[in-house]
Amino acid sequence: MPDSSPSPHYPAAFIGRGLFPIYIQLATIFRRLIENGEWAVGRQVPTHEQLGLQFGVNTTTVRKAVELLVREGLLKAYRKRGTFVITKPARQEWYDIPTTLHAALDIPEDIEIETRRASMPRQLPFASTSSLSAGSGYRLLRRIHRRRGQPLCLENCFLWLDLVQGAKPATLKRASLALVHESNEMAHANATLTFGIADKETARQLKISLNAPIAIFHQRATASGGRILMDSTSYFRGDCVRVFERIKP
Amino acid sequence: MAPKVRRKFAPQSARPAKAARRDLSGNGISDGTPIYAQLILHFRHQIETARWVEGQNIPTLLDLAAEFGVARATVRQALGFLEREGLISSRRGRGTVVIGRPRNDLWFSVPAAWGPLDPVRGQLTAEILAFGPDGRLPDAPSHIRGTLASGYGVVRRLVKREGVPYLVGATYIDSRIIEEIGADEVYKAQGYQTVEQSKLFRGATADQSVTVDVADAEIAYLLDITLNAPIVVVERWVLDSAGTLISYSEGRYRSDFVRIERRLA
Repeated sequence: MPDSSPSPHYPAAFIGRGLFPIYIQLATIFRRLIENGEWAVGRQVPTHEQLGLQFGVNTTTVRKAVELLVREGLLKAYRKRGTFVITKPARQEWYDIPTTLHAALDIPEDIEIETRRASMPRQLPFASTSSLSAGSGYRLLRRIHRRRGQPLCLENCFLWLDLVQGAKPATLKRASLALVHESNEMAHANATLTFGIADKETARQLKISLNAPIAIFHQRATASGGRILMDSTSYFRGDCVRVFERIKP
Repeated sequence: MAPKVRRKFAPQSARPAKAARRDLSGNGISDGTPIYAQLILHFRHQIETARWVEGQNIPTLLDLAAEFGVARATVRQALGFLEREGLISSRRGRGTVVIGRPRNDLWFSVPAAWGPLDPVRGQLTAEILAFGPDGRLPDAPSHIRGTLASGYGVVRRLVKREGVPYLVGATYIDSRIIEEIGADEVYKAQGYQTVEQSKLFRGATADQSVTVDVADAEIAYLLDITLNAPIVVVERWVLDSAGTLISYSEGRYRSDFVRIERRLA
């Protein structure tokens, strides 16, 4: 068994490597220490000299990293008294990605869905069982989900035409799966969540930065004969989505 | 013919530049992130998602510089990095072509039940980063109700699959369990196995959460990914029948290695 170490320490090896300036790298570590409470709110952080020694960087670099977090409002430097933690990084309220049928049908009250455009798709993201030309038989709904006015996700939903026809405008504000579920034709529904980063257009519409993490939620509902009734892909801003499950009752 | 037309439009790129620059340095990515580093992430993503198709040319340097409102040298710097990664190749006079795609076929699906959190076993190698009796538990989110045990031990591991690092995991275990099972066993076993062996596990409940974060400098180093690249965080809380938090684990995964699949109906 190796020597036990009392707390995870940070070898200097990983600082100063890669594309980013050293003080930016150091700031990400300080931010994490504040986030997980190792640097508690209201407490003083180690001196620049101590931090310089710990991470193997000079005090100028430490000062630049600290200044970055002071500008972010997480730290505050007092003359002679030292640097203190003011607050933790603000975090978004969680939005729970549905993992059950019940949750997928029911949109939380503070979420508003706007269907921006319904159009005939030029192509489908799956092989159509219809003998007709590619996009016919389906409608593409481009939707945006907002929480208290803030964009939460962009959804592209391909919906079997029968389900859209005759739908009231109010229906189009509901969860995509709910539109299918009502028809009583649905035999199976699956959901998959993967992760990625925002491209320019997604970033612009979700009001996040380029390369910010996103979660990609794909839902598909099929009828008993295998026909795809709905195929929906939602691009969520990554900083507020969560999958929370009880794994042992 | 094309270069001439582009040159004509080039001076105008000064105006859209401002809007594009706001795009790049908005929230999310921290202040001062070099633009070429952001471009690398973006360009690599274009290849990963096959928007830039293998075997085909990517947009020209001029086009990319205009699109993002940055200097050509900055774009060249970013593309040079991807060239060294073996993803693209520039051929004089014929543009830059995509020659490879980053490997991301090693994903596994996070289960919705208690048990191991690993893909197929056998090809995995784990390296212990830290093992100690006095693990300081990170602050728990407010929705986890439960009392803290008097002490925890922590095991921190870097796990590789087929030599590719994909997970940095930390498991905090109630000191009573470590005493019951023995430190050697705790060191050898995976977190969930240790907890399962304890008598405190009988009647225990467990919750799991999956969220997204960005890599800090240490995680980026250990997982061999770019700083601020997305990572997936899988957390588990185990409360014994008395409501004491007997185990907390946190796994930080490369985001392209993880997905969640659920049957809804």
